[in-house]
Amino acid sequence: MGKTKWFSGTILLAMAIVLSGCGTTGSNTTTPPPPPPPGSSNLTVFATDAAADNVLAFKVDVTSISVTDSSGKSTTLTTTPQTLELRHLQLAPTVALQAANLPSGQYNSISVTLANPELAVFSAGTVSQKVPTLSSSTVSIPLTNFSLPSGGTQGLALDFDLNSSISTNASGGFVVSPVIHPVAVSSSSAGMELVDSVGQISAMPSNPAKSFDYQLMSGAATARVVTDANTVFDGGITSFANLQVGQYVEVDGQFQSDGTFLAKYVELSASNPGLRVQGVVAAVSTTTTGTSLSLVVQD
Amino acid sequence: MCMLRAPKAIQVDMKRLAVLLIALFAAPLTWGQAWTSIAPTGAAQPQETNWTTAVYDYQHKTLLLTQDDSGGGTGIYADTVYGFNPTNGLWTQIWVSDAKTTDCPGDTATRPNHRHTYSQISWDTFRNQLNITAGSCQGALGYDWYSFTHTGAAGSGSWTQSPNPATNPGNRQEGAMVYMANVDKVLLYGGFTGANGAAGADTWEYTPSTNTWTQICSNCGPGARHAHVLAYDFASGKVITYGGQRSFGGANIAVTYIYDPNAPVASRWTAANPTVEAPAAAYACFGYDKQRGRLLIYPQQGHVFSYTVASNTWTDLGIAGGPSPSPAGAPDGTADTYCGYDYDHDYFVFFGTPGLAGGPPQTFGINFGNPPNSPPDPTPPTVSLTAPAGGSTLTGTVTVSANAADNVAVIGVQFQLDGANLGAEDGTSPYSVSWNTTTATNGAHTLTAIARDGAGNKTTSAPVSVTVNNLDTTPPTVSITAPANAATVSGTITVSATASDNVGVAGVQFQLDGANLGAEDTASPYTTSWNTTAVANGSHTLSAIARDAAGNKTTATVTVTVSNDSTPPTVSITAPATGVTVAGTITISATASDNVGVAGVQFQIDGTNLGAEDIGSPYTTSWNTNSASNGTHTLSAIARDAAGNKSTATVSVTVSNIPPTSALGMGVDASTKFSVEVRELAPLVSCASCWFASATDVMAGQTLEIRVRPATNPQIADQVILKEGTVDGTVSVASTNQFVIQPATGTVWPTSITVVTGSVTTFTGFASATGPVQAGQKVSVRGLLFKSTPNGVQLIASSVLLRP
Repeated sequence: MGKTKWFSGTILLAMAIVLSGCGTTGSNTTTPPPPPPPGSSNLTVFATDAAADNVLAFKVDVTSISVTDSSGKSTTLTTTPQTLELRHLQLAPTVALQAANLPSGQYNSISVTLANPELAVFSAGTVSQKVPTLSSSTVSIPLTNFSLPSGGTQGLALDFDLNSSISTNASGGFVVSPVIHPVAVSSSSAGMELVDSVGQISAMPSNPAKSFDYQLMSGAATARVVTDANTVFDGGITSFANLQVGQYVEVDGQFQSDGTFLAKYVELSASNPGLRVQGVVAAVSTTTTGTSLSLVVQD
Repeated sequence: MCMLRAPKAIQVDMKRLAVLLIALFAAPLTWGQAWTSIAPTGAAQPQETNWTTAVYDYQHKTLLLTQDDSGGGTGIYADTVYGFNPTNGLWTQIWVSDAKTTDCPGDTATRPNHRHTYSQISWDTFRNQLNITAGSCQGALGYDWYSFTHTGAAGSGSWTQSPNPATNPGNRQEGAMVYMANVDKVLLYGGFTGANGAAGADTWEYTPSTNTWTQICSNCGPGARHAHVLAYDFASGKVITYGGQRSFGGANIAVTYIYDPNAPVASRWTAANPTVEAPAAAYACFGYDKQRGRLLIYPQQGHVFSYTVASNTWTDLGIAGGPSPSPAGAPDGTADTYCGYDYDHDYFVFFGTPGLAGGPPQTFGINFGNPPNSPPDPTPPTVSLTAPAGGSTLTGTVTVSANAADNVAVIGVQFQLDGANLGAEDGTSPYSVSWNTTTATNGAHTLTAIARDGAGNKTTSAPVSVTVNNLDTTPPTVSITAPANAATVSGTITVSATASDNVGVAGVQFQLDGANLGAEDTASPYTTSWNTTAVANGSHTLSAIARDAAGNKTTATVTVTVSNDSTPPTVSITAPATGVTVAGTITISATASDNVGVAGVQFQIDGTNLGAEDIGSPYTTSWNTNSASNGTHTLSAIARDAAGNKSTATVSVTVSNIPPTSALGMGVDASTKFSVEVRELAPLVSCASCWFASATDVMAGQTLEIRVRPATNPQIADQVILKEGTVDGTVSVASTNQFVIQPATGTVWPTSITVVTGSVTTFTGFASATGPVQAGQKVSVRGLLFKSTPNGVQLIASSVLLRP
């Protein structure tokens, strides 16, 4: 981990990139849940992040998510691992899972099991890779006045407070004690939408019209995206008709009450996600042989 | 084959010649064959005898009469038992009723009540007892069963009542009952129940040893009748019925029927249909002449008739004169008279009645003059097979014949094949049976004939050995079970067939295009192995010829297509090209062709299968190169045809993925394109292409998407896209549509950034949807961070979040 290579040569410009990215750990293709019957409810879990000044990337594996209702009954929502880079989710939530047919009613807590945390920390002008200690692999997050409506879909955002979660121990090692704030999400929640969310189109259902399912690159969730006349298509495509199964797209979309996302933007992404990186420029230097930069990869 | 046979008359001994001549020619007799009056003697004689019959007690050699009470009581029915000797007219009172003066009292355990028995009375020759059931005592009596035994001496008799079984014939009168010595059972047939009326046609068998009744039939062949004759024929082991009425007071009938207790239930009664019936009669006076194996009846004065089962002939014995069967003073006519045959004294005895005025019955007798020896017939029959000839070879259906003779009479001949009965016993000469030899196996068999006389003597003929050799003309059936018709085959396969035959399958010979394919298979399952590579590709005919031992043959065929293929497919990898650098997930494609057909293409990475074999063109698979190490790898596409021929194509590629947690160098050349993902911020970005046009416009803290070129190593950025990112800081200066934030020190961001807002900017956490932003607030701003705007570093904001 954490190697940095510097490139220089005959080219006009060179870059050096520090990469601390996230990968896809799950390859299973799921289908967005259909509307639940009366007495049941669907749950969409978002992941988002709060500020963390010197942390440029925080990658962690989410290995399971479960909820516990008011009677104490626990229901496991997923055990499909997914890897999340949380830092770039600040003001840009993503979908962590969509669970179907949960008994409607009140739920008192949600538990998240984490593993394999990695940090990219900017300090004294350089970026270093850190493997912190995870103080507790399972985090139980109390829910207050949180209910799943009968026959409806409820959203729940898990806001990772990185500033409060990361500390150092006496030996200078990093320790992660996850602090996660639950936020109930509805279709009218401000800022609770998919932003720059990259995934691969897995299906194009006939109903609703002009919609597609795409599997997020984080691995676990498959979201259904609905387009309308206001949807802007970009990246070389101009309309819904240009979409097809297998394409990688980047979506901005608003969460809707039926669990789908109404797309503001659908941009055709790189045909091969392995050749695409996104992150924060950590440093830029210019020499006589060119310009180089360090990029902390987040997505 | 029939043989000429001597007339039956000359097959018997001379001692009975005269009697049989009477039977055959109905010639009147002059010697000892006349009615004579027998004067009654004895201290106690029966009175008012009517509505009964006499039975013969073979043990004590006396006729028995269960009738009336002695002493002139007022009872008109009786249970007192008398014996009668026709040679001297002696009556012996064997048992005296204890209720002789009482009319129709109830039964007791020690005797039946007074009753009409008519013919519901019989003598059991095995247990030497007299049996009666039901009858009438001023009305039909309910079912009961009494047995009477005695020593022959006066007053020696006693009655025993058997428990009533759950199943029994019920109340009944004027039926007829007889003991069948050959099966140790009692036969009961006909009569009527309740008041006088319509008679029944039911037949029952009683088993004395178990005290059980079995109804043989309810509407039996002889039809409804009462007051009829029922006699057991010792000569044939069968029962004769004759006469009676269909209903009380109806017309008299004759209608002779025979009952065979050994026949199947459904066919025990058969109509005798003699050429000439005896005269119709009811309450007929009768007795069974055991010495001559014949039934004797006396329905008309001057006419004694006999009936012989073997010849099915009624004969008027031509004995003139005699008493009237319905004498004057008998108020009920023939019902008041009865007969019996004394076997040991060879007497046919007639009992008349003086009527209700009392007195013993008038007795008359015919002495045939032939008191029997003891034992009556020790001589067995003689029998010999006359056809087929010994040593003959037989086919189809043949007649097996025998000659049989006896000093008295042959009752029947039973043929046997290898010790088992062959058909039913033949009771009529010439004795023969038809034998369908196809029901027997080919080969040697033994025939015998067993002749039986009326005394139960049996003789088995000398065996005759024959050989059955039936020609088998039925061919086997055969079908090929594998391969299926129209199948395409290759390599070495197993050809299988099933075959069957009425006798047996001798073998199955497989053929290929008319030539034998291996040796004949003589045992099921019938199979052979066929190496199809030995023949040319194309259509071929497989045959299975089943053969039986008689040489009958049947052929089944299927047509198959041989398709052996030694030509391997051709295959080439069309993507990626050899030598290229790949990253991420790529599609590997191949084309393949074959002279017959490509069965599939298996892709491999460095010799390890990549996914499942693709069996349909276009042949492709997806490869996530992240699963391989960066460096050189060999991709293979292995094409296979149905015959198993394979070809392999390979290309070498270099995997160069961006490691998820490490860095690598990347070049930017003149072709690298710079762009900005402006989206909704377009109103605030007057010239994105100006502000982010080259590497000089890149600065720390910017969020970039970089797309590299897969075919280059080291990577060259093909596109650099400025995207929205988030910057945290404290507001230092706030004004309209812009404010300045100061990120925390020591971060990648500049120490001061001007944030530009507009109508497209959303504010969260503020007092209103437009802010306002105030100095000192901690905010998170998401937007495009430009280094090179006309106003220097600016963060064009899409959203501003007020942080706590």
